[in-house]
Amino acid sequence: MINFFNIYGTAILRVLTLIFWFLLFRKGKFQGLNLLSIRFFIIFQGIFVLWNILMVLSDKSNIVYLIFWAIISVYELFFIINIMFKTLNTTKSHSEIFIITISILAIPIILAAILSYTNRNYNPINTTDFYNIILLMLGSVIVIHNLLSRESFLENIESFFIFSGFTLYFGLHILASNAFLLSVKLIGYWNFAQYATLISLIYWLGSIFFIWKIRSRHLS
Amino acid sequence: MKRITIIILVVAFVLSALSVWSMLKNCQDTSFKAYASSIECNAQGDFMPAPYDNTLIAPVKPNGNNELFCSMQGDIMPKGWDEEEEED
Repeated sequence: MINFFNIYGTAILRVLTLIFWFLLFRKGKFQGLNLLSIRFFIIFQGIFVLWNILMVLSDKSNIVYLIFWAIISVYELFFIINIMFKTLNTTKSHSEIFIITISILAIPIILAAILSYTNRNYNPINTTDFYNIILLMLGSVIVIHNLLSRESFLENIESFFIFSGFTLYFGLHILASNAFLLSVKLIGYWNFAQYATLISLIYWLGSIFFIWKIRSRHLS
Repeated sequence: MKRITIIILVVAFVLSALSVWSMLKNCQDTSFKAYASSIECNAQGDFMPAPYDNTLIAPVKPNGNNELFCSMQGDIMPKGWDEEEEED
């Protein structure tokens, strides 16, 4: 039983997070930036669930992993940078800058997936993932800052929990990365990254309760 | 606003360049050493991918049983009983 939860615990929590956030999305009335954040977040969890299903079912887990790692990495950049541009109140002309930024950042991701496949090792994706996560954590912090300082906090309470969860997720993944673990001679391994994901999923799942409490108390 | 846009573009460009440079520098390493210390892959994902075919050894868990010795609260891990007895 313990072994089962060790292997599938993260995937089970992932499905629960998707279900509960989807229910929240269906039951609540959201608009603007908050609606977009929740929708993007549900799609993000949905891609992970699909990735997990294929990882379990497929014999070629290397290829499935590389394809979905590239998809989720580009999607995370799209999600967080898109919301960041929107919280910066950019004009329509900035949508071109957004596309250029995503394109520049997508090049190393695609290159890393190809190099990992051709060189038969995971070093390229480990390296690119590390740099991406730093950028994504900075992006999440900027979004939280903008939400707290410019937008109405209570109206965007879901976005706040989503992005604070992302900050936790990316922060812990930086600690779990090769570069950091090798430099401080900690035992680097997959389990550390899995715990990082587990903690973030528990946070996102638990935040549903706080959102419900805060919304029922202050916004009803 | 123009300043913020330029900063975002510069950060994106610098990080991409740094990422490609580091990646190309390290991509020739075999996964043998990394897999031996069980850090072959630690990018995002809920399930670890299978090791590549050129990795012919099983993952070694460094530190042996030390890791399982004490997992309670505390900032500094206590020594093992055997180690202390040896010192005495």
